[in-house]
Amino acid sequence: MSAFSIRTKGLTKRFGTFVAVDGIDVEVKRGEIYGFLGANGAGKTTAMRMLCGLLVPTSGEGQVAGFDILRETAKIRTRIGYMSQKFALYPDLTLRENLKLSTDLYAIPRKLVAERMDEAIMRCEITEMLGRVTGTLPWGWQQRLSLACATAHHPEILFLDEPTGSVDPLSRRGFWDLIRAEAARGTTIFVTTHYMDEAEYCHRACFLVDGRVADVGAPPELKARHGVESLQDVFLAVAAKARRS
Amino acid sequence: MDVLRRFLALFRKEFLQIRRDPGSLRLLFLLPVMQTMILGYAMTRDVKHIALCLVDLDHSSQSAALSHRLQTNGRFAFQGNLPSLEAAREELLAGRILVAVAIPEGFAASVEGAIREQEAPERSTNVMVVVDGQDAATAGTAAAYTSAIVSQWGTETFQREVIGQGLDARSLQPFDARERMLFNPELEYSWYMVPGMIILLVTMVGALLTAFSIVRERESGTLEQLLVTPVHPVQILFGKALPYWILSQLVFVIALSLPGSFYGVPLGNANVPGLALGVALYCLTVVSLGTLVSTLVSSQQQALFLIWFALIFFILTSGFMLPFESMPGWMQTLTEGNAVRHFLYLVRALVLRGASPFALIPEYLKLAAIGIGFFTASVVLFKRKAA
Amino acid sequence: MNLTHLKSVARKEFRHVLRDKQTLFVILSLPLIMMFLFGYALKSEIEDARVVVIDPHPSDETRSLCRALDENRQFALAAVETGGDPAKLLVQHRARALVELPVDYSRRRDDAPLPIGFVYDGSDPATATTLRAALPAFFRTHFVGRNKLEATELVTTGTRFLYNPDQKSALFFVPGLMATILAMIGTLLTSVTVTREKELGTMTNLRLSSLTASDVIVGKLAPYFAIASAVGVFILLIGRLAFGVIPQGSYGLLAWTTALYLLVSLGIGLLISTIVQKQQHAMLMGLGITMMPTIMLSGFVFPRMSLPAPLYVLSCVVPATWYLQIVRGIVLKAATLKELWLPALVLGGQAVLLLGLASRRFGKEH
Repeated sequence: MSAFSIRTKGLTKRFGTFVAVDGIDVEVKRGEIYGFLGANGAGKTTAMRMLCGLLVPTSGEGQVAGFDILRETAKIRTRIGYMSQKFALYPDLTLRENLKLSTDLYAIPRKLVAERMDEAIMRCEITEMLGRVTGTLPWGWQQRLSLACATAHHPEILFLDEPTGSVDPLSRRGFWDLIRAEAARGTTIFVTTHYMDEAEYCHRACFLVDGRVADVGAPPELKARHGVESLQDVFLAVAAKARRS
Repeated sequence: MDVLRRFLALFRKEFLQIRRDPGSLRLLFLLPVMQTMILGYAMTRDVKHIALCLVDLDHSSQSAALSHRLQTNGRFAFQGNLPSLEAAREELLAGRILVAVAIPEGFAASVEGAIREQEAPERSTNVMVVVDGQDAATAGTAAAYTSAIVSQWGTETFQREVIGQGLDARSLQPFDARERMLFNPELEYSWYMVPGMIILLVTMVGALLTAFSIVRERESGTLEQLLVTPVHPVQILFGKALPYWILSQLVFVIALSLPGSFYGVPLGNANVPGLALGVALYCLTVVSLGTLVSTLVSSQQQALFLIWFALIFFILTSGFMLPFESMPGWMQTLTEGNAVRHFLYLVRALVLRGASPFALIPEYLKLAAIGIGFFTASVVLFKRKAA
Repeated sequence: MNLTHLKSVARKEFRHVLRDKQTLFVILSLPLIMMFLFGYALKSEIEDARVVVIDPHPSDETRSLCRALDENRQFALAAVETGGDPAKLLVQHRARALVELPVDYSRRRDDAPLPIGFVYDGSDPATATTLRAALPAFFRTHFVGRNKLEATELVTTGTRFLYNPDQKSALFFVPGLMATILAMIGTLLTSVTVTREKELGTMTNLRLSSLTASDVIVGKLAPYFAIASAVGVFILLIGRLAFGVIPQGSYGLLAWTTALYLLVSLGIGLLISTIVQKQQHAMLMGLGITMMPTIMLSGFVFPRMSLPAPLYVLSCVVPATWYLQIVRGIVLKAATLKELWLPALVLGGQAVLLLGLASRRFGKEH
């Protein structure tokens, strides 16, 4: 059992002549909250999608949950959870139906389904409105439902792609409480965001600029290294030489 | 077992979503049924109510007799007698009549002269027919019909006069035509067209709904979400195709029975298992077309236009409106891959001719091949796109 | 209505439309393919209809008959059998018609006519009707000179076709295609795209801006009007270059009446978008309203004069019916506004009605 949940070496993705991700080496420790930061277009989402098995890398290698991302994507998918920017829920299914679907897709043993569903509902604080059609739920509820669907099967690693976009600051904070609780249970969290203040919640943060790792480390370490007060300033310092934004 | 469970979950989800969209269901069922019911009567290439004018420049008993024949014929809508050819031309230009028949001066003299000669007349009397040629098909049919009536009048007159002179008219006719019209004795156009129309409408709706459903998931991100789970891409496609496959068959059966019985299409003729198999195989091709298109587009609008494009091509070359055999050989060969053509042939053979399904095995095989081919291509392209 | 606002909406819409190259490609290829099919592959005349001859007693005479039958352009001799059940042969679709010759065909009988059986496959009424007239006619001409008293043609007809003397089918289908394709493109594009914005919620942005409803409507419809016009021009161009269809009448008249027709189609599309909430419904409704009625009732493929009364009335509501009259009139007989005032007026009225209704509903939603 490796100490690392995620490991990549020289991971690269090219679209024609455009290099979205340029040879990144990433190491994510088991149980940590790892932030993947950068401006829009820096390559964060592309990198994440390669780790999830949604995109085939052009070159390089990587292991997720101990499995090879080039050859064992099927096994990877049983161990991870994923939450996209758009929440990706079925608007015409009820809250409960969306969650039930998730338990079936991950083939959670039938005996445990009810228990897991109840637990996920409690954990993600969506205990009311279970019979409501998802499309009519407020944004915050949809966000938490999305999290519940991604964690009902108790994944080893949770991938979150800009999970707090279009949500108000108060809800954002509440959501990060849920994430931290998740990490406390031992789940590795890999989260991309362009909100630099959210990076303060991470154990470690990695800054991506022009598809390359510009800097990585724990927030206090980064701030000290660049002699600044906030991660926002770290980003500005690191991104100063960015060519694409 | 997990595989089945995942698939069933997707299948159930799809059905739930379909049920929760009553608007689409309403349109899905109403469209084919209502349109066919209402428009079935429009689908005839038979030309009726032909607006006709006569110009009698001879004013004889012979010309009157011919005029009378034309006036009283059921296919014509007689608009009146005109004094001159110029007047007739004006009516044609104005679009008030379709056909003008001009009986020339000297008609009676010519006809009576020929009768006196008894044997093959050295010359025939000529009558002029002027037709509004804007619509070639209608014009051609109307002209042919008019000529046939005039010619028949001539033959009957000759025979009658000749009998009157004591000769055996029967020997004038070298052969005695015994006619039998099989399968559709009344020549009901609706019987021929209704199945085709239903096929057209159900195909359109079936392919579009399947494609739309997949494209919507791609647009909303739920497809990506599915791909991140242990579900296999093939299961996703099957989970989409199966519900719509079932739905299309249901719509087809209802759409065929209701307008079919309304128009008196002899559905009882058809071998039921044979028809059911044909419907099942055809709906497979329809749904597979939908899945295939969904892998080629990125928005619902693109899906709409691409499917519309494919269908227009398939339908025009299927023999639905215009006779299949009239197409050039190379085109006919090209349509071996046209599922609409094979299914139309199958339905018409089963329903109108009461054919045995065993005689139609080639059609069943071709439909199966096309359906499986489309679906396989969908899977391949879907996996490529997903990766 | 503010011109700058309008222009900005239109420009945005144009950019959006031009980005979707696949759909543009389809919209342009469709007329091309259809014209190709109608011009080269689809014919309404019967040619090479398969006929089976049952000849129980083959002889030189019957063989020459069969050869003549096959050589005739209308027929194709599928087989010559010595016996068999006509019904079975026709069920198997080996032929569309069957001729049963009598055993004593070769024996010259001057006083009794030969009984010849004609069996037709009635499942395709059009072919059956044509064959029912064509086969006996073929036999009549074949027998001329056989008997003492010959088959007579007491009266013959000389037929003249106005406007389309060579009966060129292109002159028939080019106007029809214009009517059908423009209607569908106009309505489908508009209804689906506007509803898409509703579905995605981007319409709310417009609602909150300072644009008035009319700015939005005109700005949105403008690109689709342009595209549909381009397709119309494209069809005429191909019609001219590939099929030699040259409008006899005024291009100007054709242009503005086509513009009217497009406004009607766009109006229908816009109206649909105010009724439905989802793209899928817009698509189903759009297809349902435009496709079948336009093809079936306008007089494009099926003659209007054969319609039973209630359907004839319905056909008067279909815009394509009137537009087809206009296009055929201009292309074939150099008709002017004097002859075409009624269809033009109807189209104008429909455009005003539909756009007005649609705009009002659109405005109310915002």
